[in-house]
Amino acid sequence: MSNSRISRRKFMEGAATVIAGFTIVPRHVLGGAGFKSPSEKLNIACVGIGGQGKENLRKCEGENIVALCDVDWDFTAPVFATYPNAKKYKDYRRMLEEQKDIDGVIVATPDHTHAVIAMAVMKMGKHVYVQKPLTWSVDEARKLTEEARKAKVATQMGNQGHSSEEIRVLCEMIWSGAIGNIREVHAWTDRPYWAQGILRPTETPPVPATLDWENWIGPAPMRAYNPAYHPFTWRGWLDFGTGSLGDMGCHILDHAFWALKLGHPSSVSAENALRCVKMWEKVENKETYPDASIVRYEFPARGDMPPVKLTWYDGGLKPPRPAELEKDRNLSGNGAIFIGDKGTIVEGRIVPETKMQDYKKPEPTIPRIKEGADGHEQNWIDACKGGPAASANFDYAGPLTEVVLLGTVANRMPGKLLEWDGPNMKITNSPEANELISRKYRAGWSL
Amino acid sequence: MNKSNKKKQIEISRRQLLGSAVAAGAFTIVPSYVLGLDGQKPPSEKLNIATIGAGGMGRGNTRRCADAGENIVALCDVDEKKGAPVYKEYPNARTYKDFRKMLETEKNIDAVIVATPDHTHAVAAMMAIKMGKHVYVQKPLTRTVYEARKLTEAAREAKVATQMGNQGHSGDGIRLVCEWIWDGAIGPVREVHSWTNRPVWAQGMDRPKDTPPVPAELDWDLWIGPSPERPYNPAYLPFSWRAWVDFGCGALGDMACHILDPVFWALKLKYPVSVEACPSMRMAGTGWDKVGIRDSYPQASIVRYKFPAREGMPEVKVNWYDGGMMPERPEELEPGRKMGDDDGGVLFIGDKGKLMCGCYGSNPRLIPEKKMEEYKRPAKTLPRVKEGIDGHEQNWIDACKGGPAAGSNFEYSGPFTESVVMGNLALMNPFTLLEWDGVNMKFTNSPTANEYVSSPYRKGWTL
Repeated sequence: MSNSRISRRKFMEGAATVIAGFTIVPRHVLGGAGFKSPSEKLNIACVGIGGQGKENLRKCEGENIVALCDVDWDFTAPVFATYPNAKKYKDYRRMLEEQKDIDGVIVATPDHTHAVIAMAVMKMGKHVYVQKPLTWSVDEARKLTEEARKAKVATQMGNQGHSSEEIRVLCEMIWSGAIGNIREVHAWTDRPYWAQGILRPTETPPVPATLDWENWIGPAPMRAYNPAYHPFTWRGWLDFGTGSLGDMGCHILDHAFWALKLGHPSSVSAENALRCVKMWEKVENKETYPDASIVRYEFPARGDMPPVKLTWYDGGLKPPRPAELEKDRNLSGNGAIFIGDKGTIVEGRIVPETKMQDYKKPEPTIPRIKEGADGHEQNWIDACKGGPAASANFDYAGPLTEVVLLGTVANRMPGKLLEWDGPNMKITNSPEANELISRKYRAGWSL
Repeated sequence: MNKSNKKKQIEISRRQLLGSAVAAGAFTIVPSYVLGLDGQKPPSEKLNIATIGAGGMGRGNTRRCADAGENIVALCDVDEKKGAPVYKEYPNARTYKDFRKMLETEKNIDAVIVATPDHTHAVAAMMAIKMGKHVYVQKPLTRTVYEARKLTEAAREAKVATQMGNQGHSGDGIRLVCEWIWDGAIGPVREVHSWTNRPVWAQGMDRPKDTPPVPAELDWDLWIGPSPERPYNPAYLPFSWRAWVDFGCGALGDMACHILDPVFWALKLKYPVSVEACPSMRMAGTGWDKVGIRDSYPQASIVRYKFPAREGMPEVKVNWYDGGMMPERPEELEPGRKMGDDDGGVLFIGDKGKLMCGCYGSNPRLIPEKKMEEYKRPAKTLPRVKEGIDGHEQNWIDACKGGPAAGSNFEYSGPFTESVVMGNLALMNPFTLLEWDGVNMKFTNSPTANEYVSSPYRKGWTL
């Protein structure tokens, strides 16, 4: 670690040939996890800069942004322009090979390429910040979590709410028994805000010159380019995204996962809205996630907490109105309801509101993160510099993502109760569903 | 009024007619409804029946009446091609495209079957009722809450025999559900879940923009009837009109009149006190806006009703799921056992147990099965309808001939339909608790939802 610091300082003094200097003594070769001191700046790279990556980069501007990578140089042009000193790449593998000065990498690509990129980064001993959901498959989440532990790098999933004041207050309320034992949780989102329930387009327009389609596809099965997939709308497609649940579950189920110490569910099942193409013919869609769905999880007892049922609703569907909710109040577009023996919490507050007003919140016991959700990137940067592990490090975010992605497996097998053996990562009653826990990569790609 | 005299008169006129073996035209001289007796004929006489919307569901209804020995005297369909095979089955029946012309011309009609798309049920049935004719109207009785209320009132005033075409109401299953629940088999019921696999047709889309020519066999203007004018498109018919707000009532309207029937009867429900619903939402086309219902009903929905305490029964929440959504599977249901049947089902949750049945109240069982086996069934106190579900038309025919009111007469099926189609008002105003004043037929906390309690008719049409 001290070696690394010295080499960096020497380098900083040299000032001119930044990148080349590091190729001689890359930090990860020097042993340890390569944590920098708080006074030093990290060299940060970002893969997938057009969407959330852009936001993450903005919050890391206090560090050195040294490399930017995107398979599409057209819609990302303004982001490249924002960081003129960063080297530009189309292929993250080339970036990681060529540019040895990188300390930490932000991965904000579509879901299907999170794992391969994050894994390559960690195997090089670099810190990693990965957008939510951590991965596309359950198996990938498990493997990334194991690798992060082994590589001892600083990790963070981009579920920024995990750094918020609100989630901490909720945990403290629930842990202090504000609503008693909780046996029922409902969570929902108004997503998707993109097309789902549709079939694969048949037209094959030419790939734009600015897009590296081969690398956009990455480890997923090859298919013809179509603007239906990129940018942003990949979320709806089974091969690339993880649907409404994948998009929002890592935020919304985060509260239940932390406050109720959920761990592995014992079972999961789903109901989907299926479209009809012809009278009496419902399409079991093998291309996109459904327009709306309900996903039901069951979690066994944990410590002194009783078994709990967690129900997820998306696409406009919402849970039943809690009896305590004031008649003129409506549920928001996204949120969660915790139903306890002694009360109900809706979107973070006890209902009715009069009861919340009378309630004395417990003394804070969970350390707060400066700036809350807005400090999520800094929380990771601090970890990269030897501070405590980031709030949503993979030991936490990996298992959370597994729960979320099990729901997307259920979404692909609607109407079937899937029994889950968490420690062995196996659906025990459906070989067909078990196939969806992991994915066979396209030739040339591996984890 | 001397009833026996009138009865004699009718008998004479009918006998004379039958004796002279003249065709339907003869009845125009002394139509039976003019003769009073509330238009009811003695069981020995044949009814003269007309069907509006003969080419669809009306075909089955008509055949059952013909098989029962009644006279099919007139058939009406706006689509000649759809009507043709039915017309062929009844060569003596006169055929029409416009039900108004039929009712005006054919003075001998005693009773009318209305089996058109939902949006024309009310206008057709109301005209028949006002002419003193008995009516059998396919479910849902009407497309709007207001129409259901008005038809119910008109039927009461005209004292005609009425029946809604929710044939499950004549089945044995629904009677068992009632008897068991009234027996206290599962204790007081505070929660009900019901579901269907419908829609099995496309929903959740905007109206088509193309304007193909109207097929020669179709009178599009008559098909549109009282609804707002729009260009013809095969997206609307046959059958798929159910998806469109201007014409149908979606999955809820199609199936809730069957599936919620045992709930309404067994729990003695009338008007709900509130309703709240969530539709599956789709992209509205621009930006991040989404819509639930626009032009067509959603792909999936959940509707949650609350009914007040009544007749010794506690307040009850009745939940409806469609489009693939289901209630939570009850723990009492053995692994591998299907919830309901292929069309849907109901789960009654009582203080002392759970009862599950399929669509039409069919195959009711206490769950788990062990509880069913242990249950000492009460006496079958409700009168059974001969032939059960298949006897639903006969049940109405009997009422037309002076027998007891049909099982799903409008006093029952009117308020029932109101509650069903009210669910669509909640879907149009989603995510909000709408409070319903049933007696005054209005929401007390939503002027926007009230706008849809009734719909204005196209020029030239009235109720």
